[in-house]
Amino acid sequence: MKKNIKFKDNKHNKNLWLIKTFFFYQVNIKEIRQKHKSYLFNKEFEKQLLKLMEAFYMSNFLKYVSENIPFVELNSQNYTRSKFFIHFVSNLERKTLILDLDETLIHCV
Amino acid sequence: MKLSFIVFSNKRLKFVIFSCQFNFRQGKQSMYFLLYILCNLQKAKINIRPHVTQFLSELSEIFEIIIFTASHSCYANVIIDYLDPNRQFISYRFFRESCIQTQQGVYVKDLSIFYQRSLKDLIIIDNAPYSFCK
Repeated sequence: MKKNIKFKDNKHNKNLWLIKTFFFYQVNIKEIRQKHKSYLFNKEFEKQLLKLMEAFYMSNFLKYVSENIPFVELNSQNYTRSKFFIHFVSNLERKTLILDLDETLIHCV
Repeated sequence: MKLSFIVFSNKRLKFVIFSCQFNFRQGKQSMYFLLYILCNLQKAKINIRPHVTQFLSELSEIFEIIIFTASHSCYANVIIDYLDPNRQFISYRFFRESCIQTQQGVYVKDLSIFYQRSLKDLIIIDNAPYSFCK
């Protein structure tokens, strides 16, 4: 049965913690490449760039948490191996974790 | 290491998985699907997030873990079975059948199916915040 649904509310629903994930690395690297076509990227430079980007996004993530906003954008490809992330959600005093599959536990290429 | 096998066939949905292949290289885990969707043969590749098994293992000790995906169950079950082969981490699985299709053709996850649980007890991890409704 098809329904007409409004999507807006959940992002600001203070009862519901929603953690948004996506693969930012590929997208941003592509964007940077497109913007700086003349620049020759090498693997070592890319590694350093990714480190910087991860540090930047993780600090944003901490900022969100400190402000206690129930919607968090977790812009890290590797959050599943992040001890910090496990520590963070463990301390939220919630009972159930609902995980999406595509782009959350796996990445569709 | 590569494994190939016939996985699933669902004629009613016109969605057939001919084969599924696991590939483990340099610590990366990938799966390749050969799909037959609405008379078209298509290839699909997915990458597994790093350390997902350990991630699920640690969190399952603290949380009840539910997978809620808008994907077809025949496709998603193969991946979830791979992620949790002994069915010890993930308590429940919900698929496209538990979603509501909007007039625009978008599948929205219907949180009202969790009516026995309060929103205050839930954390949702998803790449699309618009895909939930209650």
